[in-house]
Amino acid sequence: MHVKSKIMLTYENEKTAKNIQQALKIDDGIFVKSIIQNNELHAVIENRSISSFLQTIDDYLSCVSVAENIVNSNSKNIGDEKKS
Amino acid sequence: MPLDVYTLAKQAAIKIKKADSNTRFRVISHYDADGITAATIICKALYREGFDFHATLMRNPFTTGIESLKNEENTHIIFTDMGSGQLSMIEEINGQIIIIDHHQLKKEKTKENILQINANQCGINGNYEACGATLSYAVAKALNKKNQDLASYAIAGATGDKQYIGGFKGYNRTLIDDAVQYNAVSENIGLKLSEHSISESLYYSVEPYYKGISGNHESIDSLLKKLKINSEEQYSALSKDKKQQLHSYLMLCLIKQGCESNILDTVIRTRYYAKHTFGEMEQFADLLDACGKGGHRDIGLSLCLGDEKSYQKAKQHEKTFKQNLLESLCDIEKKGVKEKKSYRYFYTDNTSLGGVIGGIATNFILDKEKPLFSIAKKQDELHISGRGNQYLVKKGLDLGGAMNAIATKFQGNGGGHSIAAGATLPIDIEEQFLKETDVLLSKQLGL
Repeated sequence: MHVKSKIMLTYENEKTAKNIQQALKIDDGIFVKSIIQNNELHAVIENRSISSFLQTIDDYLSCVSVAENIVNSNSKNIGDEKKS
Repeated sequence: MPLDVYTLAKQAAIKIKKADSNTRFRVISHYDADGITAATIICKALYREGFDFHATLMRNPFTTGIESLKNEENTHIIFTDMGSGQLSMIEEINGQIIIIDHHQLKKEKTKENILQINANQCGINGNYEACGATLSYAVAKALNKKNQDLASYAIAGATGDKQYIGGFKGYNRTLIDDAVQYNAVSENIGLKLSEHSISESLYYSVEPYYKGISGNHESIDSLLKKLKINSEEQYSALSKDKKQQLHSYLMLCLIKQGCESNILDTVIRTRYYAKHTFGEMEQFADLLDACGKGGHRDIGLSLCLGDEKSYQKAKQHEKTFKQNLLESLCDIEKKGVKEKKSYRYFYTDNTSLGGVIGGIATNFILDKEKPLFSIAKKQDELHISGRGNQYLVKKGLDLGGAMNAIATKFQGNGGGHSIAAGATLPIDIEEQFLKETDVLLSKQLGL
C-alpha cells in the first residue's frame, strides 16, 4: 500500500518559512520531503502503511510546533533586545 | 518444551488411516467461518481417503450438542475449531477422538483415546498465529500432500477469525506464503467492497463500519455525487484516480471516527483470492459467518463442500444478516452503550449477533480503552460475549480467563481467547456477573 499526503504551512514571510524548514531538515529524508515556495512550506509525506503514515505525520507536526515556538520566541527576543 | 504441530498432524493422519475403510467419521465443528472451513478441510480430506463423514456445526456453549453426541454410536470423532475448552465433556465419550483447536488450552494431558492438537501447546499463539482451519489444513496435508489445494479454505478461516489484524504471522504466514507460491491463492492490495454496485457495497459495509455512511443511502448518494462516481458502478471497474479518491475519503472517515492504527491497516491491505472461495477471502468468510450465525449453517457448509447452487441462497441470507447488524450498529452509534469501571456492555435480542456487533463496535465505533460485552437473555440463560483489542491484551486483558473463572463460579460455561471470549450463565446471576466481571477485569487491567 502507498500512502501519500501533502501539507502546506503558511508563514508571515519566506524567512520564517525557511527557518522552520531548516529546523526540520534533520527529519526530512525517506518519509518527508519539503520545499519552500515564497512564504509557504510544502511537505510531502509518504509511507507504506496507514499506521506508519500516522506516526510520521504526528512526529512531523510535533516537530513543526516545537520549531515554530523556537522561531517565534527568537524573533520576540531579538525584538526585545532591539527595544532595550 | 512445546510440541511440534506437524508431528501432531502426522500422528492424527496415522490415526485416521488406521480406521477401517468402512468407517464413518463424525466431524464436529464450530458454526462460524473458521469452524465451517475447518470442517470443510477435514471432510474433504476424509472423503478423498475414501471415508464417509457426518458433519455437525455447533454453537457455544456446546453442552447440548456434546451431550447428544454421547448417545450416538461413533467409532471415530474429529472436533475442529473447538474441543480443548470442552475436554472434560469429551473425555466421557468413547471411540477414537482427534481435537484440532486454537482456543485456550485447559488441559494438556488427555485420555489415551484422544489426540489433542492445540496451537497453544505447540508454541503457536492461538489468538493471532493459527486457527481451527489452518491447523486442520496441517492434518489434511499430513494425510495427503495433494490436499494442499485446500489452503484457500484455511486462509478463509484465519481471515474469518480476524487473524489478519497486525498482519498474518507465524504459522499462518508460512501457510499463506506456501499457498501463494504454488498458486492455490492469488494476492492483490485493495479495499473490501463486494462486486455489487459501489452504492450497495458501501451500504452493507459493516466491517469496516463507516460512521454516517454504512447503512445510510442518503449520505452514500451524496458522497458518490461529490466524488463524481456512478453509484451503479462496481468498485473493481473504477479508474485508478477514482479508486484513490474513494480510498482517501474512506480512510479519513475511519481516522476521524478514532479507529486504532492496527485496524486502519486492515482496511486497505493485501487480500487473497481463490476459485474455491468465490473470490476474495474476507468476503467469503463474511458469507460463511452470516450463514452460520444467521441460522443457516447447512448452507455455509454445503457451499464449501462444492454445492455452487447454495451461493445465491447464502448471499440472500447474508443481506438479511447484515441488515440486522447495521440496525444494531447504528443504534450503538447513536445511543451509546452502558459503562462500568473496566468494561462496557449492551443488551441484544440475538444470541448469535452479540459477539459480531461487539467486535465491530470495539474496532469502529467506540474508543480502545475498555472491552465490550453483549448480553442476551434466552430462556433461563444469559449469553455473554466479550470483545477486546490488542492494546488491552497488552495491558493484561484476558477475557477467556475471566469468562472461565466466572462460569466456573456460577455453574455456567465460559472461555475463549484473551481478546474474545464468551460465557453462558444462569439467568438469575446478571447483577453478580456485572459486578464480578468489573472486579476481575479491573484487576487484569490494573485499574
